[in-house]
Amino acid sequence: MALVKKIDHLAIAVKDLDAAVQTFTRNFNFPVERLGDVPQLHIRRAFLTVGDASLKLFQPTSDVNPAAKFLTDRGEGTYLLSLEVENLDAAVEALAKKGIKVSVQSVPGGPKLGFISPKVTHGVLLQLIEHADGGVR
Amino acid sequence: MLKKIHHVGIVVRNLDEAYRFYRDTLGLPVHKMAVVEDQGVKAALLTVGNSEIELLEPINANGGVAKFLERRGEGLHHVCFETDDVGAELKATMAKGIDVIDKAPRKGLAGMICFLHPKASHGVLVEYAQP
Repeated sequence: MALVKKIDHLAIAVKDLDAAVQTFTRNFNFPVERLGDVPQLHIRRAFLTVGDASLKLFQPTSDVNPAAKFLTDRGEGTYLLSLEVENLDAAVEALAKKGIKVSVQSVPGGPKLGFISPKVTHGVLLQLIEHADGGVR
Repeated sequence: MLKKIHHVGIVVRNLDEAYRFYRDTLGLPVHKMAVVEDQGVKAALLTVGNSEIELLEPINANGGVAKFLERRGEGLHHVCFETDDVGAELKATMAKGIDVIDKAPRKGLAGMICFLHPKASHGVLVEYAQP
């Protein structure tokens, strides 16, 4: 089976979430889901559904979130690509055998997350995500 | 109507080196590869679920992709949404007063395509494609 199932979401860092949600809704008519604060990640975010994937618009609410520095240095834009895996532990093990390190940083009560360094991925902050409910949400 | 993410575009210095991670390590199959002269790139589409990852290597110093690589280095470059009618979608977009790069669809690796201006979408370069 393929290591990766599909694109889960593309995260876009913005300075003003409400303005960004308004712009993307007006421009593209994507439905908005799960708009709100995620205090443990120091962000406000919203998911815009595009087919079987999403755009995640997010605004850092504190400099603790690394995207705050990204916004200062580079301005708004695409920040991270998240790919869905069936089983994160299996993916981490398979990638370790190929010499790729995945840093696992799951949020309690949330999906299992792994991150691969942009040095390995040609500049892309790449996230692997395993949804607890098998992706149905 | 924009149906799905057709692909996410990633600018790389060297396509063959990028294959080693995206094709060989992640195991994403290469679906299509071509030189797109008018965009100044060698590009490949790799399948991931119902979507693709597009790897872009500049082939000359003049194109937008070469400039992006020079200014920001390798990384995420654009997102492309799929539509059944790129002409109608582009017309509707321009009617909303949204800034576009292409005023008419043109041929690209993903089919008939057009790009919107990134300032219209909070710094995100958006492409529409009709495969």
